[in-house]
Amino acid sequence: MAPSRRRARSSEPAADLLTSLPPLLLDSILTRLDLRDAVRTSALSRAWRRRWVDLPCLSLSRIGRGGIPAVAVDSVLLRYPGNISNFSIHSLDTHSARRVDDWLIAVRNRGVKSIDLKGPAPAFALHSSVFLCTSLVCLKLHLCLIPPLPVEFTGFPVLKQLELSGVTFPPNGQIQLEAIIKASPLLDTLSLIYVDTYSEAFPGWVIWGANLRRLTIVSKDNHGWQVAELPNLHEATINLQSCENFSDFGGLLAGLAQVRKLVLNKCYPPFTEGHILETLPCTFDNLKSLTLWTHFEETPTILSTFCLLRNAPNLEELDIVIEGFLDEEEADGEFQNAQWTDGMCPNLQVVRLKGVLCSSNEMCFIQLLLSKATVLRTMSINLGYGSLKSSEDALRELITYRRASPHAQIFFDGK
Amino acid sequence: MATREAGKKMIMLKSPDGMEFEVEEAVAMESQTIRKMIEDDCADTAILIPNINSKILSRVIEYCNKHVPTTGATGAAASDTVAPAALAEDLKIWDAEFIKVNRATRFNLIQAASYLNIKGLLDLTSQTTIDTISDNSLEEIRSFLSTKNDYLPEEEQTIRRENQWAFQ
Repeated sequence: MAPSRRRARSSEPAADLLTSLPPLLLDSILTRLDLRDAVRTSALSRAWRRRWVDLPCLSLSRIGRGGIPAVAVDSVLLRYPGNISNFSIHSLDTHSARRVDDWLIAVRNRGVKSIDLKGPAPAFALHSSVFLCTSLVCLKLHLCLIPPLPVEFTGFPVLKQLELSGVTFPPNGQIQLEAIIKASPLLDTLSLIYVDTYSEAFPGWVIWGANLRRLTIVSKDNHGWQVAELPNLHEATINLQSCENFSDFGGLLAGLAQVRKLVLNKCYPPFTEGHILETLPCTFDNLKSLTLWTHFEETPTILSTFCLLRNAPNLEELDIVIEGFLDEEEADGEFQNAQWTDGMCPNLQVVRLKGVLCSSNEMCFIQLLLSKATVLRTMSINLGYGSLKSSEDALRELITYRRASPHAQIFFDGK
Repeated sequence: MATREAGKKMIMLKSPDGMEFEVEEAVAMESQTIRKMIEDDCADTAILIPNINSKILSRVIEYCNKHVPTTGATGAAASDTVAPAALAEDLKIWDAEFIKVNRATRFNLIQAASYLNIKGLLDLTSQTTIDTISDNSLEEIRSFLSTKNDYLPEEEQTIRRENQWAFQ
């Protein structure tokens, strides 16, 4: 009874307000549903029974606790033949982590555009099929062990964003990483955060990228990166986190010469040992905004700051976050004044200083900037914890400083 | 519709029920479909918009009027004094009011936005529908969409079991 009845009725399931829309229009609406809601529509009526399976693409995002359970991923990959646009995993338990290999193999030929994997701790071994997803636009890998490149690897022709953090490459991984970057001609954003390339020696390897606009490197060790000329670089962030053996910091900076916005965190001696930046092999002609995490306690560090300012003639905004430890060598007004060459900082308009401890070296630096920067509009000063002067005393001293720019205003945030 | 001041090119839009709407060319060109007609010179006197009745067409024009970029020569309202973020916020509030319509009108607007290829209006109407599906029980969705549940009870049970995770 039931089969014949179904045949009679299923020939033309009744349409409702949505299913009567043209199929392409309905696709464009339903692909906005998250996975759970899309699958749930199968229970509405017979017309909806397999509608979600016919969608041109689905997103498997937020797999893991609080998101899509592992069992659902298995079930969807089994029933749904279409494209998977996004595949993202956050907070997997160790049980589900074992399924990731099979999932990656399954999504490989499904036009996947974005893969974002955050493994469980300790780092889990990634399957190499991730390198065969040639339609990837965005690849983010966090806390995993990177496998060697499979022999079939042909590159990522449309990859724009590559973010690696806390990942470990096999021995001589720098060669592999170089190959991946080189085989991604459209790469726009590259982040290498605590990437371990396991190289005993440091044969220099090179970051290329005709289209690279944003580069971030955070590392505790020197992995021997060099930067080829990056003609379209807009923003760069370099954080050397106490890296103690950086051999060619000047050379790395020279590769960033086109940059417009530069953030240097802990990039001063002794972290750049042997390279007190007294001279730079390049001028940052495009640089408009510079952020430095530094201090004014030691001469080599102060010299590095002056060296950067001297080589950034078009700088408009300067941010300095002071990481002081108040054990200062004397680098008084006369010394700093001698570092200031004619025509330095001709375009500097905004200066923000955070964590100021009011040491005499810092006060000299502030005084010097105010007396030399002719188009300065604002200088904002934020006192750090443990400042040597009270807010009132610091402010009283600041307002006596001569200002080269008639429009310079001082904003003061005491603590 | 009132004629705007001289210098602005006007376009006549006709609905199948015989109503005529005179609108600025820039407003009409919020629709990529109409833009293409104008650019291909297929639109000398009046453009007939098939399948969209005058009630819906007037709502669509109202939407385009609000969303046409106000900078440049076509500026209906000066935006120089308003920050872009505030303007965007204002539009969002306006959109939320605009879409408070009955079901039939909403689905007519979806089809009109799709035919006329007005991305903003299609996004707005689609997302409102998606929100309705996400926020409600199956029974409520059926009633909103006028869906007749033609499953036998045991069939519905089977479907729920197949993807149990989605129904918890």
